[in-house]
Amino acid sequence: MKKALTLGMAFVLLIGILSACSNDKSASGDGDGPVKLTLWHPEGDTTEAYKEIIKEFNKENKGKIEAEITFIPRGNKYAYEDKISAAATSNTLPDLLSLDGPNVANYADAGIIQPIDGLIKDQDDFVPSIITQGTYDKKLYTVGATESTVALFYNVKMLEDAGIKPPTTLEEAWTWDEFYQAAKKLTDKEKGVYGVNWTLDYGEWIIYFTGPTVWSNGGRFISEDGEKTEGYVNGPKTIEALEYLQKFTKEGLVNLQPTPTEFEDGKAAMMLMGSWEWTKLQDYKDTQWGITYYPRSPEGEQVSPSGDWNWGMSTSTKHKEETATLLNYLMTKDHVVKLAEVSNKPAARLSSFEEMKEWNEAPLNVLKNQVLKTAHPRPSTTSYPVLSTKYGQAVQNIFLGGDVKKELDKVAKETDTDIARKK
Amino acid sequence: METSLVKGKSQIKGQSQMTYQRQRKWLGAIFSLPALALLFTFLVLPVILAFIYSFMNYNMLNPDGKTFTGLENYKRLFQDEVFFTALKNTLYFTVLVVPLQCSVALLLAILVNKKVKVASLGRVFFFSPVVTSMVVVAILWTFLYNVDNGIINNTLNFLGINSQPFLLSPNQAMNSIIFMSIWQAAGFQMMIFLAGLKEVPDTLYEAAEIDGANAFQKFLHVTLPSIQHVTGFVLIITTIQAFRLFIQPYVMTNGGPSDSTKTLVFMLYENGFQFRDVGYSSAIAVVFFLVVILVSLILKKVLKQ
Repeated sequence: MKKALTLGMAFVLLIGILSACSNDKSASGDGDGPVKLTLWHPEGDTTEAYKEIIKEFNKENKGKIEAEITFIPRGNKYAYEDKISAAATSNTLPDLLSLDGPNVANYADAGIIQPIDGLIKDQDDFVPSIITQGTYDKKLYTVGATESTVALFYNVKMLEDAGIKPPTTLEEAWTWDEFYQAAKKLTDKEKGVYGVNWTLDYGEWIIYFTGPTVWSNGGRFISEDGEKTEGYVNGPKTIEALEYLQKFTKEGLVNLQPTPTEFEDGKAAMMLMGSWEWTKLQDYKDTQWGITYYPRSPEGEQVSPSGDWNWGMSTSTKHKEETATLLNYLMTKDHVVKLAEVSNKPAARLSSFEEMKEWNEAPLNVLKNQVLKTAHPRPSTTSYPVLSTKYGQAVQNIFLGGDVKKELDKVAKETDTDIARKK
Repeated sequence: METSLVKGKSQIKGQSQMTYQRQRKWLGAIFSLPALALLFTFLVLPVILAFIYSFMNYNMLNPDGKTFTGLENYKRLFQDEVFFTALKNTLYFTVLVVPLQCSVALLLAILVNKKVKVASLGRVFFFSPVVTSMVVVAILWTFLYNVDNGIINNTLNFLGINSQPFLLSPNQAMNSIIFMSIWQAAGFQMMIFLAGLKEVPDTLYEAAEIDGANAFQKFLHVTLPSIQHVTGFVLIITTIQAFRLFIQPYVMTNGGPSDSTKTLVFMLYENGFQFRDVGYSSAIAVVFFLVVILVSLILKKVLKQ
C-alpha cells in the first residue's frame, strides 16, 4: 500500500514536470472564443498610450479579437533584441512585434517577420523615410507611428554672448567648419564649459548620430547591394568624416564622460541630440534653448538621421488577418497623433503631422523640416548588428584618440566576415 | 548436515536481502529522477549542444537553416585577433585578481577575527558589497572613475596629482576594473577564511607564544598551515569566478577602449546574442570550458604539493 503510494507520487511528479515542459497549445486560441493576439513593445514613453489603445481595441472587437501587449525593458544596450533572439529560437514570438528600424533587414532575412504589402491602409500617407526603412528586398515589412531625427540644440544666451548667430533656415545650415569654429569659440576650459555635448552610449546611438556626417560627405557604410563594407565603412570619405568629428574630442570641445544634464546645467553650449529630448529641456526653466539644423559637409548634401521603432508581423502568427486589423488600428491617424504626442516625436503619418500645430513653429519646425526633407535611412543589411556594434566600438576608440583608418579597417573586416557567413 | 543448513539459511537471507536491495535501488532511482532530469536538461544537455553547435554555421534567428561546417568556427577562432586579446585579458585579470583578492580577504578575515566589539561591525561593513548586485556596484564605480567629476580624481587633484583617465585609457581600464572587483568580492572570501580561522585552536597560538614566536611568525607557522584546506578551496573558486568576468566590462566599458577589457565571456555574449552567431560563440564556449578545466586541474595539482 505504502509502496503504491510512493510510486504514485513519483509518477504524478514526473507528469507534472513533463507537462510543464510541453507547449501549451490551447493558449493561442484555436478553439472557440475570441482570437488571442500578443504584442511586444519596449517599455517607455508610449507605454500608457499603447495600453489605452489596446484597451479600446479590445472593447471594439469584443468576442472576436483579444489583444495583449507586453512591455519589455530596453536599457541603453540590446536587452530587447536579446529577448527577440531568444524567442525566435524557442518559437515563442508574439503576433506583432516592435523592432528598431535597422533590424528590419536582419529579421526579414531570417524569416522572423513577414511582408505586409497591401495590408496597410493609406500607405501613401506615411512619410517616405518610414516606408524606406520598413522595406527590404522591395517588399514592405514594417510601419511605425513615429519618426526621429538628430539636430543641434543650443543655449541661446551663450551663443548671444559669444556673438554667434545660429542658422534659422535649412539653406543656411552650418557647414562643418562653421560648426567647428562655433564650438571652439564657445568652449571655455576655465569655467568648465564645453562647446558641444554628445552622448556616448554603447548601443545603436553612435551609428545613428554620426551617420549624417558620413553621408553628408558622400561616404557610405556599405555597398549599394549590401554585400560589402570594405572600401565603404573604411573608405576615404568616411575616414574624412570621422577625422572631422575626432577633432572635437582631441581638442577638448566635447566632454568624453559628460553628466546626463550637462547641456541643461549650462556646462555645454550646444548639444547634438535626438528629437525626443526637447520636452526634457522644458524642466530647466533657467536655460533658454533653440534648435538648429545638423551641420553639413562643405560640398555635400544636407542630411539628417532617421528611423524609429516599427511594428512587424511575425511569421509565426496564425491569424494574419486579425493581426493586420490590429496593426491598422494602431496606425490610424488619431492614434499616430496620440503616440507621437506622448513620446514627443515627429509623427510618421503626414496627415497626423499636420495636426500637430506646435511642430510648424520654431524651434520644433527645424525637426519637422529635417524629417520631411533631409531624412536618410541607416544601412539595410542582414549583418547590421555586427556593423552597428563594431562601428560603435571603433568610433569610441576614435574619440579616445585611436587611429581612424585602423579602427575602421577592423569594422570592415568583421562585418564582411559576417556577411560571408550569412550567404 | 550442519553446513548445508547454514548454507540454506544464508541463501534465503541473501535472496531476500537482494530483492530488498534491488527494490531500494529502483525506488531510489525513481526519487532521483526529477532532479536528474532537471540536471540533465539544464546542465548536461547545454554542454553537449554547445559542443555540437560549435561545428555549425547557426544563425540564432534562423534555427532551421543551420548547417555543418566542420572545423570552420575553430579555424576562424584561431585566426581572430580579438580572441587572443580576450584570452590575454582574461588571464591577466585572473592572474592579478586571484592572489590580490585572496590576500586582501585573508587580511580582512584576520582583522575582523579579533575579539573586540567593532569586529562584528567590520564583518558587516566588508561583506556589504558582496550582497549588493554587481551591476549596481559597477554603475557606482563608473561615476567614481569619471574623469572630470569622479570622486577619485577629485581626491587626487586635492593631493596635487593630475587627473587619471581610468576607464577611458586602454592601459588603465582593466586595472580599474580589477581594483573595483577586489573591493566588491573580497568580503565573500573573507567570510570563508573567517570560518577557517575560527577552527584554529587557541592552544597552538599559546604554544607558539611560549616558544617565543612573534605575530608574523605565528601567522606564517600556525595560521597558514592550519587553514590550508580553506585556502585551497578559496583559490579555486576565486579563479573560476575570475575567469567568468563579464558584468564589469559590460556595464563599465563595453569591452573597450580598444578591446582592452574584452574578456572571453564578453566575446561569447557579443557573438552569440548581439551578432546571433551561435556556432562561433559555441566554439568560444568550448575553448573557454577547456581552458577553465585545464587551469583548475593545474591549480589542484599545485595545491596538493
